[in-house]
Amino acid sequence: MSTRLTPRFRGTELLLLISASAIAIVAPAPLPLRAGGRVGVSDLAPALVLIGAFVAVHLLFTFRGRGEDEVLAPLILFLTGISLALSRHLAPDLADRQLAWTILAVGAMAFVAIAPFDPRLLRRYRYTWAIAGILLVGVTLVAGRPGPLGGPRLWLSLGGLSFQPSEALKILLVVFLAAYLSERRELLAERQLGFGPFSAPPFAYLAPLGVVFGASLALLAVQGDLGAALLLYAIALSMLYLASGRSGTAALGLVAFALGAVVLHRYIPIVQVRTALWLDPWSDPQGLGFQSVQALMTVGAGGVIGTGLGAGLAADYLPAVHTDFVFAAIAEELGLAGASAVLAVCALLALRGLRIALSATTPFARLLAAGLSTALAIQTVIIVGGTLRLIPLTGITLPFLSHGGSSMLVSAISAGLLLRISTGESM
Amino acid sequence: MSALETQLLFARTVLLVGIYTFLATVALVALRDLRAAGRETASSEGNSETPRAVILSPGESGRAAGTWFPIRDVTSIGRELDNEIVVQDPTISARHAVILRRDAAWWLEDFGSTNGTWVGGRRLESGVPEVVRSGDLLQFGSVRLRFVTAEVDRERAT
Amino acid sequence: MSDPVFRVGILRLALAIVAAYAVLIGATLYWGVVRADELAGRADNPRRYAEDRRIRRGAILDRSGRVLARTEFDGEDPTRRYPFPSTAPVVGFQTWRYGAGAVVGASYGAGGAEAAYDDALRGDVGRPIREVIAGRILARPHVGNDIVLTLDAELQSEAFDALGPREGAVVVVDVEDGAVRALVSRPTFDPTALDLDQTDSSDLDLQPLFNRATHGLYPPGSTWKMVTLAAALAEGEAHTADIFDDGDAVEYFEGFPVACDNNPEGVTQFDLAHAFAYSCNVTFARLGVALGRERFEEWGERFGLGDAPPFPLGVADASISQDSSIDLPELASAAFGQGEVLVTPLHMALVAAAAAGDGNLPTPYLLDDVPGVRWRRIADERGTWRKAMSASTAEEVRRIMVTSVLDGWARTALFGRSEGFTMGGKTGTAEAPGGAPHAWFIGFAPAEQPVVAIAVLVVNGGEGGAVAAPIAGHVLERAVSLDQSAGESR
Repeated sequence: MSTRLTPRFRGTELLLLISASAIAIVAPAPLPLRAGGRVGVSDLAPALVLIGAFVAVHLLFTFRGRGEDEVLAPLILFLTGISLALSRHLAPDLADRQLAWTILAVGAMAFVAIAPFDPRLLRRYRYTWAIAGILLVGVTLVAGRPGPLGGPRLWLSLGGLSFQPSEALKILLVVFLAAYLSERRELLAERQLGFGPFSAPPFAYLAPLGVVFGASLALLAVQGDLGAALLLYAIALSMLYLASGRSGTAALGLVAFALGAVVLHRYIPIVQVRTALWLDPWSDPQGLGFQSVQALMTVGAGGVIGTGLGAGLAADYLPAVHTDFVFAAIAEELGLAGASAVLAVCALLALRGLRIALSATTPFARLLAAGLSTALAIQTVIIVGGTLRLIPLTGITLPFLSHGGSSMLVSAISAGLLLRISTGESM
Repeated sequence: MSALETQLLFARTVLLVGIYTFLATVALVALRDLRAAGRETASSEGNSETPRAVILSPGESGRAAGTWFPIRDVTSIGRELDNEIVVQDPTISARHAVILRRDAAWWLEDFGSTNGTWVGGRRLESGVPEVVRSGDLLQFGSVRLRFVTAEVDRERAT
Repeated sequence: MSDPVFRVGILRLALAIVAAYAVLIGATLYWGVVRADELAGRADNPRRYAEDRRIRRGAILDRSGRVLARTEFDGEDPTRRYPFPSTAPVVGFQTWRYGAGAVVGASYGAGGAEAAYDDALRGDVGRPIREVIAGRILARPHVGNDIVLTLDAELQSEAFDALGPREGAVVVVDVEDGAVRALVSRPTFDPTALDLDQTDSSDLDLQPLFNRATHGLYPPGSTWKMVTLAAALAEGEAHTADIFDDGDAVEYFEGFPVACDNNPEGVTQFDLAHAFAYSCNVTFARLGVALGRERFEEWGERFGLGDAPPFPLGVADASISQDSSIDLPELASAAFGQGEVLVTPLHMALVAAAAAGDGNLPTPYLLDDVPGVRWRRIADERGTWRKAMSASTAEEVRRIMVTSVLDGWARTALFGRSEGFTMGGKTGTAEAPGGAPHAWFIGFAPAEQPVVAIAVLVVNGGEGGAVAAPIAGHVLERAVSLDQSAGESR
């Protein structure tokens, strides 16, 4: 397959990258201005490094000429550019580290997109991936440690690096589901289309799926990582729906979710606490409801046009603003106008992924692309919805915007897979 | 307004205008792409010009001779259900072969199948793609297909 | 692509994603714009504190432009300064700490004018819309408005000093329109010390934050005879020419003895003016009984009993016995000001102003001007609060009150006054449970065409004539001369 690859000009990507670069350069400018100085090269260095990484990826794609999607990379440059500008004053101590993670993530994205490995391995070793993901989470349960702000044990340390295995589990399970469901899609769809003599309920074919999936959900629930559990459930449900094409599946899944929620609420204290705080965070504004209340106040401080980048006060008042609550800071500093645009870019990222799924060449690639994009969208909806009190607050990261190496890396790998699928390579 | 206020206001305006310009450009690109995809679909779906593989000898696949499979830019052939063209014939491997469109030509590549892939009576070397043209006779195991495209018309159309 | 089911699924998923993001944007609109002001105003919003520390809070000025309160910045640290501590009961104080439920603290006026005109001082009202928008976009610190009060800082200081370290209140109002010129309440607090949290907690036992002029309710004593007098004159139960033979009398009202024990030795016969000047309880008890319960209560209401004037600092309701059936002894003692009547010093100043003016109790007001701003929205209510009596009745009452100063117990008010200073007034000595009586004085000056009215109360101070009247005379004299100079300077 590696024969006859010729350079192919990527005009759309170039244009969009230039547009996104302008934003990445302007965004960090107000901070040194406010500090009373001039905007120097050192202030723009992080943005320039980031842009450099994307230009390198652009050139790589151009010369390989495999025709990767030209919209994804600029969207990611936009989001990471904003993220980087925010990190300079939301978490100045961690900003350089975050830049390093981002560059590493861009590299990982390019690697996944073009590296000469056989993507069919993803499909072939589906159970290996699923079990590896579950094992990682299991190990975390035993040997993990709480995050810097306390809370559940979600982190695994290896040497000096620490990462969140639940992030890895997310992408591994999407791969597993895509492989598993694409093999059985005909069986799943059979009854609805009315072909053939199949009368066995499709659920029989879902048994391995149920085992793998139930195990990971249970692990996450025991671990207290409700956000990740909710995310995984939503991803599985939408992928099952896509593979079967049956609305009934989705409805059934929602009913099961409702029942599960009731049971969890009954037996797991943290679910009760979260639900109560969702219904009335002002019942304990200085204690358990503190984050939720402060997040809303942060959003409220933004108004229509925001305070301006670098002028927000969220870093002083809102714990975890650079990770779980980065959207509140965006709403404060960019206002409704900017936050809506950022949300729109997030939505476009997911929609572009679905577009790639539509043109994907194999059923596995289709489901994988759809699953990865849906995962990005659902993750955004869960954390932004939690911030805005639309749903109970569960701490997960906002893809490409939140601080956090594992999240950035996993999101970038998702994007890399989408890019690879968009080349039409057989998977 | 002080100089600082002017600079900050300028930065904010540029940022907001930049964000929306970016958003509009992406939306425009995505829409044009969707429209193009729509046109492509409209012109290829069920159209007599669709590249296809017409069944000449169905083997034990249960398909009738004369029916055809549509050929996409990447079309895999095999016994497994996740292939584009699923042929349930014992002489066909789980993942048998793939037809690809590259550089305005069609290529056929064998995936190392047990019973081989043949073009015009010549067996392909596994993993080495070869160009196929409209009217070529393709054989996978014991199943034979005729590859048909309307390449001339399509090129005129674009 | 050969899978239409998948294509439909993808399209539906895409629609769901678009809808979900639209909801997210809607929620951002809701919290970020619709509910934003409410969130920003919450006392537990730390942003409010940070924002408030940047506010250039407006200054509070007296009627001559003297600064009563202003904010000074030491770098980014604001401090509120109060150059005239005697004005504390009016100006109030502003604090960074004392918020109801505020844990992080917020700055706001916590009493007096600082609280009453907080919006104007913070710059939340009265600013041109262009400036407001520019301020928001550029994140400029709020610039508050200066406000000018009707208060006269010099007069306030005089009254404060005249009252001395005793517990009590002095209120001076403009007769014509009810503008408050001085409003002293002691003991009081130092607003600067309060903000710096330096107040000795033992001082708090004296209730320095309690504004006795507006919220203290006291029996008015004989000063209430002015109301009985006005009622009796207006209702024809008494005439200026009437002669009373009450000097030695002790009259029993259903067994309740009332004696006239304030008249000078040997004077047993006097006219109505002197019955008032000698503060003869028998005469006024009889007048009260002649009026009867209903009319007496009606006249009480005309002078504002059961109510309080609208005033930015708030005023306690003056009251009369909540008991629906007042018996005869109660009616008799209420008529000479003991009984169940309770009033605030501010209220009594308005009663005096009614006699000094056209018979109406004016609405007291404090806010004179907000320079450079259209400020009607925050202006105090002005005009007539109560139509108490006709102008002719008021004229008769005024003359009798002048007589009271010339010939009666109130003459102590004139001791030490300069030649040519004239005034009218009435003393009061109200029995107080468990202590010396409250000393009262209400009055006005000059005697003819009065411009200012006063009420003085010294809690447990003793005789009104001995204690309250000299304070009133001193303050009134200063008030008249200050009013003249203020009038000339305008």
